[in-house]
Amino acid sequence: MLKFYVGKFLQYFLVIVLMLTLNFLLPRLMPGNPLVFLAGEDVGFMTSEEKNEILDKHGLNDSIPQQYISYIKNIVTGDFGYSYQQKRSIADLLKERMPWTLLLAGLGLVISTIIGVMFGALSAWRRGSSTDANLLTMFMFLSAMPSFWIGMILVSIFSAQLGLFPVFGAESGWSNLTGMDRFFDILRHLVLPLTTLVLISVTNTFMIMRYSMLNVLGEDYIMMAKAKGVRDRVIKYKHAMRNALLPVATVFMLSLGFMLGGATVIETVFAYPGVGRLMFESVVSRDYPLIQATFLIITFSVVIANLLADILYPFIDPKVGGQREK
Amino acid sequence: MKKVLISLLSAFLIFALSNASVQAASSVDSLKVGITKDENALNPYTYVTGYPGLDLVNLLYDNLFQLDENNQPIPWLVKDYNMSEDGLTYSFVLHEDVKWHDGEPLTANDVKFTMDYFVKYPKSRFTNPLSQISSITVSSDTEFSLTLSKADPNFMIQPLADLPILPEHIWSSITAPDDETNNLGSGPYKFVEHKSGQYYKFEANLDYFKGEPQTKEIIFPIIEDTTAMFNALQAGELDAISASISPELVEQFESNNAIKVARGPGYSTTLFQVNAEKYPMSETPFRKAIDLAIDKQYLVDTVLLGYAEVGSPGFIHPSSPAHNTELKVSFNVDEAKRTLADAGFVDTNGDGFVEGQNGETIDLTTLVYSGSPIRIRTAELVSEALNEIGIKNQVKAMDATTVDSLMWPDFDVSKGRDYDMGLWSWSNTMQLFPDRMVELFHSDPTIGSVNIGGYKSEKFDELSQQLMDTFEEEERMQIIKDMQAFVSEDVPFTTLYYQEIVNAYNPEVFDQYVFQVGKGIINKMSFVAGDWSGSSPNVDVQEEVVEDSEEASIVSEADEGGNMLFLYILAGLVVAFIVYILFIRKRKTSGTKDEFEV
Amino acid sequence: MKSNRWGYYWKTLSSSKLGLFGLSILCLFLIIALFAPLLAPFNPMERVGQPFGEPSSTFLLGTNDVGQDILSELIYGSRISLMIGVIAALISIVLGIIVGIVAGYYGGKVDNFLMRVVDLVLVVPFLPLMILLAAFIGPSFWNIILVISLISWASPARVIRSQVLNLKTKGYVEAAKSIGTKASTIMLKHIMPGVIPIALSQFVMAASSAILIEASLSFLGLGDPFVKSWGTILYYAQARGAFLTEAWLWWVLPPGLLITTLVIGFAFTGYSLEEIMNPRLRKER
Repeated sequence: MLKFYVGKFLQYFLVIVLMLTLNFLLPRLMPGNPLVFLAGEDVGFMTSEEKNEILDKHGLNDSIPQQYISYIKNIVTGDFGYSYQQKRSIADLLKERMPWTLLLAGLGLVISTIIGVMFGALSAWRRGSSTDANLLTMFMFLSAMPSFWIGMILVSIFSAQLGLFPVFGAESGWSNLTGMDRFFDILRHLVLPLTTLVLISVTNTFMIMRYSMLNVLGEDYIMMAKAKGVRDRVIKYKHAMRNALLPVATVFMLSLGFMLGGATVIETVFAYPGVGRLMFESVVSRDYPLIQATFLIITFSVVIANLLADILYPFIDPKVGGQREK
Repeated sequence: MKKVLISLLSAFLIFALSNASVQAASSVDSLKVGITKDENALNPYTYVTGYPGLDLVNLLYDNLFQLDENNQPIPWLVKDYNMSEDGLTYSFVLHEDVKWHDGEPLTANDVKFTMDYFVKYPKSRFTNPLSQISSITVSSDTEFSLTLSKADPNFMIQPLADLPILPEHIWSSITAPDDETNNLGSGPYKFVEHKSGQYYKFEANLDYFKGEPQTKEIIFPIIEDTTAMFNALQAGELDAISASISPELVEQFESNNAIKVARGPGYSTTLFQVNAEKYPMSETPFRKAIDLAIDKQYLVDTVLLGYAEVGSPGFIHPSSPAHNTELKVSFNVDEAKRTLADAGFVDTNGDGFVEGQNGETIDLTTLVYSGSPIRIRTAELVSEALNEIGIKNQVKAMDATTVDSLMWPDFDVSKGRDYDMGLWSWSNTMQLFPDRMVELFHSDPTIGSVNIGGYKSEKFDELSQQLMDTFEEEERMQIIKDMQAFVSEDVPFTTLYYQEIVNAYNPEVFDQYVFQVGKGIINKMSFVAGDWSGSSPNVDVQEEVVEDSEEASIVSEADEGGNMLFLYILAGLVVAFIVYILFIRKRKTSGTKDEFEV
Repeated sequence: MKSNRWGYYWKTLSSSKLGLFGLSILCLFLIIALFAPLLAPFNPMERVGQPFGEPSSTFLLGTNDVGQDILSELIYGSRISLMIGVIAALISIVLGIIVGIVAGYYGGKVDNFLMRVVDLVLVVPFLPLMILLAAFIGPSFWNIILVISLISWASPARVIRSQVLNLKTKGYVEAAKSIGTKASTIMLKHIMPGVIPIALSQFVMAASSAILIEASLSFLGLGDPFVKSWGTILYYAQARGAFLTEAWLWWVLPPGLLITTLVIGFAFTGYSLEEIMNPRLRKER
């Protein structure tokens, strides 16, 4: 058992180190020069000494290995550096942006899991019926639509034409709302992005739940229960769904990566001030440290979620724990 | 009610007439102006882009002079000034009642401090123009004089109308200005807060020396996606936007009665840049043929739907006083082909494309930013036109930084260049200072600092020398016009168009915007009451505005969203909602009486 | 025996309504793509009308921002989208098959190593990495394909490996091993055929996600702006304000619907194939 955990830890550690390295190398291999974002639009009128001074100040004139060492050193101490584009400490930026992404992705995860589990179970239970076929078709349709497209159409209809929801942002922070007013303001801003996120991610849970439920329903003990005349309701909720939920529980954690990725596109469409949009902005503007930090923070979250899932899984499912121990 | 309003308005007008430069109270509580970028801390050292960043900085800080609607400098912090005959000594008197946002008085010492500070801690935009100043003498709290080492006709524009004055009592202790977040200034607005990626909030500086600003606060929500920004304006969530509306939406916004569109010439210049160091672009006839092959009017009509000015062959915008009106835009496919053939560029192997004078294959690449659809479309059309006359080329879209690194490595023209042709554009400062043509075309990289085509011409260098040695305004204009004539013949690049600036705002909320030529409506003049135009009196405009906004409010009620179907749905929903509310209330009141009904 | 099995697959597939529906969608798009020059009223690269034209009898879906016929763009776009989907899926499946078979067959350290790599790829948040890579390699048709396949081979590899583990215990593989058949021969001749059906369903799934990813990347401005895929059409539509005007009806809805339909075609087909591979999921008859 211990060996299993150590192995897992090592594995994820490796993932992180590799990502750190990739993360470090990629932006530096990218063509282009961050100077314009350091010096602003005046760069054309600067002397080369001035330019060099700026590069020096930001450590971009050091050799690559030197830059790598200071990069790792900084990450370990929790110092993500300084954003060229926004001219601010990245830790601050992330602190401001992260809650919005967590709110969006977290709620999206919970809601889509609930919906997916409910309908997945229903669909499997009614296997072969028209309900099953309809649900299946509907959910597959949902997953086939491009997320940005759904988002933009929702904005066009509900915000631009009907004016029911705000077009951009996470809250009207400038109006100094407090208490319930602020809550509802945030909620109003959240409705459309959240709906989009749920729409594109719910199918995943639905499919897994349906699949796992079908598997469970084929197990002997369900057959036995049926044969013994246990009521359908009891079988469905007490035996089948409970066991079928296991894979969903692991996927719940794994979906986090997907959510954070999906959030990038959705945050861009809805001008939602989360980490995903921050990442996209930073790639567009070649903001080395910011690209690294956003990508890292997303990778970290996903790896930690994975690790949690791995650690918790044996506790949830004794069968697996036993198997892996051998 | 209406009567009261009218009498109030006329009283207001009379007041405005009697005192044009100072207006009574803030007429608008809050204004929301969408901006496209987070500009981080808004002080002269840390803003990111000129637009909208520096525009916001200028609402917080003041300059000695201010560019008016037509970009002519007018005294601002300065009450009175004097220039010596030889243009070397300037003496100034400041307004007495100017205060920093914390109540400290703004004095001539702050001005001297600012100029010294920018020399000590360089920020090239502000520091470079200060280099001609040889001494600054402060004689009292409001009086000071500057001595220049060399006369400069642009001195009033830059640095005087460009350099934000910093408060000495705050900045004297700041040693790392690039990391500074303080933005206490003397401008019409005070900084309140900034939420990264979300918004900036300014409030009116009630003690402003030019009178109380016209709005109590301004909020600048940050919306990077322009579609979302236009959407928000249309939905009434924004009152104005700083970004220029894209051509295809102008008609839509103009037909929307709730929104007013302010259009005017823009000074940003889009051009077809060639690498003049590389064969065959190094041959003048080849460049000339390129110029002749491109139908600039067609570009303007197709890509920009007419919302642009056709590029002058001499680079300078037609509405600029320095424009050479004798130059004509040329487009002639046959002549282009002839020019190529006469210079020896003929199709020798029958592939439909011309070869070099010694039979070299010509296969060129045109670079364009991948992030800008308008530029991509322009590049596509230009490339097609060139293929048409037999110059083989294809367009390659790359992201902006990559294109920059090929066309302008390290932003230093002395480091060479690695491209054939490309779509390029220069920001409005190039047009504001026509003598920057020297920097565009001079063969010496230290002078021609933005000569990204590596163009070389002795004749042009001579003209440049003449310009640098001349101080008489009229003569200078003539030389600049000669330069344009020369450039239109030698074609170091082809000027394609100047895209118009199209701003949009909700006139019901605020309608006092001043359109600054080449920049747009987000500027200090829009928010500080006063007369900023030489030709049309301000009062007339205001009167018109009052009528307009009344009209607009009536129409906009009937046409919200601009789509009738949605209006009906909305109306239906509202009616349903009201009926529902009434029903519920009725049930509640009646419920106590007749319980069995429930 | 072999043809029998395929016949059996076909019977199951054709008995599944979803599968048939998906297959017919795919065939329809294939026909459209093949006969695009005959079907399209105009050359999509030619500026045939006024820019931003509304639908008319000549231009059924109006014209785009430079006056190209949108309907023709969409018809030709099916070629690009299909090609991206198929090629990207093919590359990732071939990679997946190689890794899956090698890992599954050799087991032990090789398996351990390869599966760690797979885990690594699976753990990395995939769209952010995609954006990072796309921004790094630059916008071009082939780069997009490369990026998509680099990211999406891991999941098929894992599925195929477990299938290989299953097959390894089958009598004929054991037999071949015991008579000293070369490993490469066993993998190619004995294991590969057993893997193909499941690889096929994985392929179809990969194709559907490749199409969606291409659309997203193009929309974010990371695609090749000169290749007329449906994603690029949407990019221009959004960049030139179609979402704000009535034009969304003919410029935004159709490409989105086409993407959805094509993806659904792949997804239905893939789903039915998967059902066949896993009899437990098949409905009782």
